[in-house]
Amino acid sequence: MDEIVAGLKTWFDSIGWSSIVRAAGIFLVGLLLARLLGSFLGRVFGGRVDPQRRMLLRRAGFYPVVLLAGAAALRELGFDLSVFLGAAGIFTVAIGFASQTSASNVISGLFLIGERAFGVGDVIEVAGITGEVLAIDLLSVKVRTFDNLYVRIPNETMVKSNVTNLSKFPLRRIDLVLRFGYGADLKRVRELLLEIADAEPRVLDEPVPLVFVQEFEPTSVRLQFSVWARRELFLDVRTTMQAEVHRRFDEEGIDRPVARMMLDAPA
Amino acid sequence: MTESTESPRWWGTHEVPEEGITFQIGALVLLVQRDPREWHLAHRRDGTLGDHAVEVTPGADFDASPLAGERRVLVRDAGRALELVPRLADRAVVARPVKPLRLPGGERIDLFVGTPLFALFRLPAGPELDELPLIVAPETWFGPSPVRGELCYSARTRAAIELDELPRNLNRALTRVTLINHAKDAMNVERIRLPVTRLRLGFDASIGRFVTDDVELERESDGETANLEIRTLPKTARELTPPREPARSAWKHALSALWA
Repeated sequence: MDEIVAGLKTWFDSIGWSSIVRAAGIFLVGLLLARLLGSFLGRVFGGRVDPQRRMLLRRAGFYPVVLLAGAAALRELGFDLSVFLGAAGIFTVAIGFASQTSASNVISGLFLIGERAFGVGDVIEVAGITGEVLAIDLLSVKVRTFDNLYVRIPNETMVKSNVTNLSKFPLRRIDLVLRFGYGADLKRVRELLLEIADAEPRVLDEPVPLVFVQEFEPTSVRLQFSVWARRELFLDVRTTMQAEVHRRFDEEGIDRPVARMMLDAPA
Repeated sequence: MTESTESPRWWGTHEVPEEGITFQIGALVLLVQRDPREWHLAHRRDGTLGDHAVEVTPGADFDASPLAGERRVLVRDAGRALELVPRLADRAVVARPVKPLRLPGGERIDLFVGTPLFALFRLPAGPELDELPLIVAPETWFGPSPVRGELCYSARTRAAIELDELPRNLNRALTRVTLINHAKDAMNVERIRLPVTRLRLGFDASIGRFVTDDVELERESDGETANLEIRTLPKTARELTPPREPARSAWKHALSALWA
């Protein structure tokens, strides 16, 4: 221990306190410049690009300046950077062998960013998880679910799974599956459903609403009623349509199958 | 053509009495009340009211029936006057003729198409308070697929060729659309996309209607492309509001981008 302290003292004496202060100053100024450059790039180009690219722009401004400042600070302390870089190469290979999963995640992360199947702010569905993308990092994608949980999904899982981007297109189709008894007048049912769609201004006139028979089941007829709406209105419009279908069909006395249970009470 | 003096003006500057004021513009009933530092606004839509009825009456009963969009707009000094400014819709309108139209090759025709109006509430020479559609127009998508296209309002139109065929509604604006078919074959017109955000709105007292800049849609002889040209307001109209977006006098489109 004494030898280490003595060695450090000798090293400090050899480079001098002024060099240490200068190196620390260079690094701190570099950090400040990196933050400023990152914010500047984010602000100048941020309005024209999506949140994912804005984050990448900020990082593209931040990390290179931090690396340069670190290199300049080390140089000020008397380190030979060529030796240092050589050591870093060997270190990287060693780390790579030791952490294949992480390396796989890093490469998967690069694919995810390059492929641009989704970005920060999009709502995605992956491996049974639905939520808003908070960040796409080198190792993982961070997602906030709708019940406000923070989920970290490794990039490798993202690359291997089916990812559904719910925010990619401006419109969404709302499908309601409805069952009717064989006593129901299907022509009247179709008219009613189209009237309901026509009366709701948030349901798009085009693409046109659809009503078709999916299947004749043993005790009921299964219909699909599909309407289109703006993506951001999906839940609202779906809820409204469900409530309105229920109300109008009750009003019109349309026959809908209800599960019945027979109770046989012993005498 | 007769001078219209039947309906009171809902637009312009109104002195709002202490007890408030109620505007009925077609099916929209709008209630307004003021306090020294706030405006109290609410509305309801009553489908039983005719589209052409307009009434401005003192008093605003905020407890009478379920109201929509009730809100307080806070300002430094509410003053006593409120200005209602008619505006065209904030998105393009896709007008769909009730019965499909067919225009033979080499023909040219003028149609009148009605589009819904909005009302902007603002203090005279002061801030804008709110904006409300006078008619809730259904939304529609205009484009080749659900991926590519534009969100618009949809409006059913009789596509009248004579002005007298149309009711005199003060919640809609009329656009004279000239359709020209330079191609040899006939053209079916099922819907027309009107870029109302780029049109000026005016009022033509001689016919008692809101009108917009005239629009000319021209199908070129190749049958594939079409030109849209925005002309001027009718000479008898007085301009009320400028376009929401900078107007371009003419632009060329694929035919499907203007009508179908």
